[in-house]
Amino acid sequence: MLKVDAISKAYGKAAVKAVDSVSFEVKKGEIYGFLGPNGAGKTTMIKMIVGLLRPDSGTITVNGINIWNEPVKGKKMLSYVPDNPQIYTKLKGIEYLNFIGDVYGVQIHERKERIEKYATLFEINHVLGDIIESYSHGMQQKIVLIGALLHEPKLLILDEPMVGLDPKASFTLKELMRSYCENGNSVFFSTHILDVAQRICDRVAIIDKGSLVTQGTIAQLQEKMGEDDSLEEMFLEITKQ
Amino acid sequence: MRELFVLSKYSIKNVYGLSALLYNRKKNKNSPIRIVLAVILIVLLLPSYVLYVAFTSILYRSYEALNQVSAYPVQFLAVTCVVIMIFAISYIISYFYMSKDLDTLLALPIKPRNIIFSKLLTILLTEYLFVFPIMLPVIITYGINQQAGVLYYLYALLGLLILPLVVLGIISILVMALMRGANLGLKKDKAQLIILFFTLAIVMAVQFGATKMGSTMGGQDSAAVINTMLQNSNALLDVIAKIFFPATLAGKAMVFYNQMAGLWYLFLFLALAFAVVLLCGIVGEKFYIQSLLSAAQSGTRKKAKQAQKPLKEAQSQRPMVAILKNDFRLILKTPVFMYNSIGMVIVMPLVLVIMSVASGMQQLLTPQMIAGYEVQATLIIAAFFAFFVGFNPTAATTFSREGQSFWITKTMPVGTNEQMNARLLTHFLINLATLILSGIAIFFVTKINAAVLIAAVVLGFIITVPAGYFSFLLDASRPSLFWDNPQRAIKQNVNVLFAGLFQFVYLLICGALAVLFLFVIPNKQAALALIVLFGIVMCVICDRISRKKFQKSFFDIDI
Repeated sequence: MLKVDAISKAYGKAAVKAVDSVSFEVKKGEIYGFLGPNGAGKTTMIKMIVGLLRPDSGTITVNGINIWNEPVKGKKMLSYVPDNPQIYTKLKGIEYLNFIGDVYGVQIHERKERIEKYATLFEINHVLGDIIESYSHGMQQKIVLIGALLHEPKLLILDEPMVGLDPKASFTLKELMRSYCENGNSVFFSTHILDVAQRICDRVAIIDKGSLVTQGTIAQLQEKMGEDDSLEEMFLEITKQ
Repeated sequence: MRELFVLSKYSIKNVYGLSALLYNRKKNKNSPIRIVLAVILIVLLLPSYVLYVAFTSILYRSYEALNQVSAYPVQFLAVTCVVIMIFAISYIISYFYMSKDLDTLLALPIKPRNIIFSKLLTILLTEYLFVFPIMLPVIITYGINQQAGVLYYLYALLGLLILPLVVLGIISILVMALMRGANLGLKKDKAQLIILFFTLAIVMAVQFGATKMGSTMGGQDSAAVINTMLQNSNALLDVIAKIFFPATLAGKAMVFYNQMAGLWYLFLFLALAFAVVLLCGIVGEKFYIQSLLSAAQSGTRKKAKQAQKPLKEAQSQRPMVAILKNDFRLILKTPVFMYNSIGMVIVMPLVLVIMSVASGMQQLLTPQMIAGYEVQATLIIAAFFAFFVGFNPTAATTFSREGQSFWITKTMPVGTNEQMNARLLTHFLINLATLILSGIAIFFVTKINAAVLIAAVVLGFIITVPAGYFSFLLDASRPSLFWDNPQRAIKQNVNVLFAGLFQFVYLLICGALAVLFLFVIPNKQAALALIVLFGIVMCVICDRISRKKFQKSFFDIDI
């Protein structure tokens, strides 16, 4: 579904690369967790996948389409939720969702059905007529999530999606991610909450100082480390140098 | 005092992006380009400034001939007051009511009054950028001609430093009081918008009064006015004093610097400044801070029974139409954007009517006057239109206005051509509306041939199109996305200045061509047609180039 091949990125004149020759693949129907300490390069990597930052080298393909060569085709297949959901705060929630529906070409009856479904699921249907400026951080996160799910993309990319969500919404999202992948779609997400990663991810990758340190299923990582550690213990061990 | 100093330092660093500037100089590859752009800007502005300096010198001679030199610096100070007012209104609303640092600041153990003063000082610094270039040539011209001593320059410096503070203080008090009052029954955004236009109306009323007064001098005939002025060298100064009180106190201190009266006026001016600042602190604590603490954001929650209504609002549109509508929604719902982009649609026709009525221009520009000179009239009116509409900041802030929500635009599956069409259409529709309304305003005031005005609107629009493309590309190549206050996206965006300069230079080129064609081609209509043709060809060329450039620059915008 998503193939990242030898991607590198350096900011400005910086000698150290924010992302250094990173390669991995997310398969169809898979939840792929992207882990790493602060400043490791997770968000930079995600931004390059969704078309926000141009990589210095390497290729990114979504369902076989190079996202930087055929951006419109590529972007139609994915959705992105940033770590800090900055959106048009002067719009009403429903105006934002309609706008997203229009640019992704979601038909009106499907759009209404999905808005109703997801807004009920995340319990924000009573505020859709309010301006986003009046929403809490968590509510803004939810409206961005609904916007991302509106065209039912093949690949959902989430940057720290649990931050700001209440426990119930967080649980709902995890359930949603699982059922979403069961329908043949894929989820790629970054997180600091290793507990969540351990429970829901099919595979994880750990990035540190711009380089991919390790990747695989939890069982494969435990095998590599030679111990029966939790993901948290393995993460601390891998990133302590 | 230390608290105020620390707060102001933080505020200035944040607002002017000084830390970011230093960081970018070290890290960013684009730094040399920005330096080159800054140098180009200075070089382009320099001739205009030299002309302004020459103008101030010539004007001094006119005042001297009328025996009214004392009014010379005061009149400029009064003009400066108006300039400060125009810029201050939107700055105050933005920094006091829209800045995102307020939540952080209010939670800190600092005196609320210091928050108000630090914001005032930050805006003051911006005002100095206008005040000093306007006033320095005037101060020097007057000082040299009057052979003034050190005391004069000291008084002048004090005047220049403190006058903007007084004007800002007065406007802040008014805005804070009005916002408090307006917030009781209106939403915050609507209240801000009403205040912006209300204050603009006051400025225009002052302008109307000043123009009217200038043309009639209070109902006296011109011979009597000249006689009064020749007999009393302070006659004009007294008239100005009635309107611009703070400017007059500062100006009189400068004019009478070598007398006790000068010291007395300086004392009065400083006392006024102190009183205004003190009052600003009191009003700020009572109205501004209290309104922030009570978070009077009304109308944010609808009743539960309305919850189902939004879903009915869902409609399907083409991506280009959706982007265009979204762009307009954001402009209309953000007071600072609305004031700067759409405001011109309302203001320009009004200014034209006011100028015509107040100065008696409608009696000069009659159908009889332009009979036989229709083509020339068309060209002049079109140039006038293009000059003003060229300062429309919509295209030059296309992406900057989105700020950090730009990620939505960048990740949406819409091609660059469609994006460009929608965004440019926003700019061009505003331009067209302004031109049509201005044309109608001129028609009703002057009653000149409608065909002349229609031709002027069409030509005026054609002349503004290349600047629209240029501005759009400029913002696509270096948008200002990291702001915590929408003011920074539009008012403090240097792209707007470059766009205005481009329009000015292009207008000069078109003007030169028009003169050439009129001289070379005997048939005036044919000359006009040729100018229109040139304009259309330029539009097509700009479109072709821009589409190619935008395809690359759009994907290079990092966020």
